Amino acid sequence: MHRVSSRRGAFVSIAILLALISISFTLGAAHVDNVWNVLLHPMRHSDQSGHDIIWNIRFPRIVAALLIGATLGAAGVMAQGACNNPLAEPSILGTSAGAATGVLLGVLVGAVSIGSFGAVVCGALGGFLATMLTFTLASRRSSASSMTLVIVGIAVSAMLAAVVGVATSIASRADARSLSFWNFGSMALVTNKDLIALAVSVVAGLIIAARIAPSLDVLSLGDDSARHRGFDSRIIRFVALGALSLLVGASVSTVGSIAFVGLAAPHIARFLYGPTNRTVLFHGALIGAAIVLAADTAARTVASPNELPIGLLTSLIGAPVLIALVSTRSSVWKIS
Amino acid sequence: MRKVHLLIATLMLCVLSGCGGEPRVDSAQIHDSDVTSVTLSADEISLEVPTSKRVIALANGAAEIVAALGLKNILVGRDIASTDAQLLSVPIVTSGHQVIPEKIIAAHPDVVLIDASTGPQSAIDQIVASGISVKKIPESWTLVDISPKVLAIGDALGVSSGATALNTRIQAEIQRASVHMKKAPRMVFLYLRGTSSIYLMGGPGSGADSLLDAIGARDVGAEVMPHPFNTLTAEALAQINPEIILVMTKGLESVGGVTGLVALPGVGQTDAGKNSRIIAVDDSLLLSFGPRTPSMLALLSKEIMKVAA
Repeated sequence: MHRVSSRRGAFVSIAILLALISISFTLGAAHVDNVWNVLLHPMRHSDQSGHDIIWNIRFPRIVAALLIGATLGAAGVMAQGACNNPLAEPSILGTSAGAATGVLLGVLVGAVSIGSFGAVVCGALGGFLATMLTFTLASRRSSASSMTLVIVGIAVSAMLAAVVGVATSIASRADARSLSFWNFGSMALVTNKDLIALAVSVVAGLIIAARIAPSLDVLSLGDDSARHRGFDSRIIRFVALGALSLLVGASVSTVGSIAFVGLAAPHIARFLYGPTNRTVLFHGALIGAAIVLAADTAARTVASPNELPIGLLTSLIGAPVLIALVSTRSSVWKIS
Repeated sequence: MRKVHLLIATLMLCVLSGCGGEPRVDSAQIHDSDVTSVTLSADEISLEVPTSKRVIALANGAAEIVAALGLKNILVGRDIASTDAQLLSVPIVTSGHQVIPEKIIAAHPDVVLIDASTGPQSAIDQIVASGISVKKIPESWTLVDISPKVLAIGDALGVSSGATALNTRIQAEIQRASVHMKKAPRMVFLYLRGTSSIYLMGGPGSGADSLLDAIGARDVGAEVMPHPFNTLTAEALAQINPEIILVMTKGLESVGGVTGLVALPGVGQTDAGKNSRIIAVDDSLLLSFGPRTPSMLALLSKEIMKVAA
């Protein structure tokens, strides 16, 4: 099977991202004259409306889309690597629903507000507890299969999504956001203020993920093989799920749950660059960023001045790429 | 070197925060209790005897018109949208906007007034099946719709002359409220339900456009948007750049009040958002298009002039 060189792939991905960023700054519901002039002179306000649209509306959305996409791509790698299961992803393991529950509870008790570091912490804690619950319940049976983990994860997700639904319906508070925000995600409410907590948490999560990724290669050979090679699979899994929870907590607490990217981005990376987790992590993050940015740009321009839900566009863009790769290439899941 | 870092950090913060000065706060609220209803005088209503003795008004705002015709005594049930203070003693026979047939049949009405929005249809069918007369009246979505609605209710209750008199009074009051402003302020109407992720901008036919037009303000949303209600996008709103934003009271509450509204992307970038020039009118009052509309219009134009000054 022909693999793409990681370095060449990185150049292509970065070039695609730069092109997408350029397109995204240029397109929108409103027409802005001299976009590049406004971008290059952030302090000059000759066109106040254009300055506001570029720096206070498009800029935070583009940065958030890149961060969220990279986060979801990396979170998918952590989920699949820690579970040694190609079907694992944050919304299947219960991590996303747990993060949503954590943030919502934090907001409802008045402890945190959306877009803050506190919300990220609540999201990470909720995501971690939910993922551990899925793991614990799935491994109670000694004959537990990969499918058991997925089924239990779906059940835990459904249960927590119901908790979020009941809580948003009863509370009906503006600061608690809506059920559709938690279930389908939305980039429409992102402001510059939200970017600081998001960026710091995402960078921290990505660093932990990059450090643990090589150990996940060992885990892919099975827990027994890992033990024979001197690795403690429980610690590797714990750290990977911690990174997963931090990444998902940062994402969900800012834009709600955006599904599919966490599943598609790592698989696209794996099909193109092979199964080594650090490579998959790097490229999964770049691919995730490209999918979410392309989806968000399409969401706010295709039906302009109306806006489409981003979850629809991430599936529309990511799914055909994944299907094309599945039908033309053979996947390698484990490190040989 | 440290100074350079400090300068860069300050510049970054300035860019991220929008670099604005201290905003002026100019929000206003108009509540149900602030307005009065145009009502026929005793002389005008004594001329006709209504054909019905017990009436339930389910059509939006119909109960207010029945009361304005001087017939509050024959009302035995109303819809949730008729919130005029004089109707508080008349029981609401709907759950939200959903008709509950048992409650209506138990009230033994002669006639039930409905409109195209009254539902569910199965409930209406049950009421008809129990032998109660159900009369459909037109809905009112603009100022010009008030007259046919009042006349239809007058016909349904056998008080056509009273309805004509009420219409004359309402139109005269609307004319009196229509004070054309020197410089028409640029306004948009936002329909908000933040707790359900519903953020809409009023366009042509939203109802708010006819109200703003009557008092000499410009509905800039209606000038550029294609539909009566359009998804609110931050960029579209920032480009329209209204001076004043008109909302409904519960809608404003659902996004966290004036503070929450101006924090929404797009709103904070408008002149209205920067100066918190927000006017909120109670939900059942703003688009009621009935006998309370002239009084609401007079108050609205007064608040607009105050805020725009």
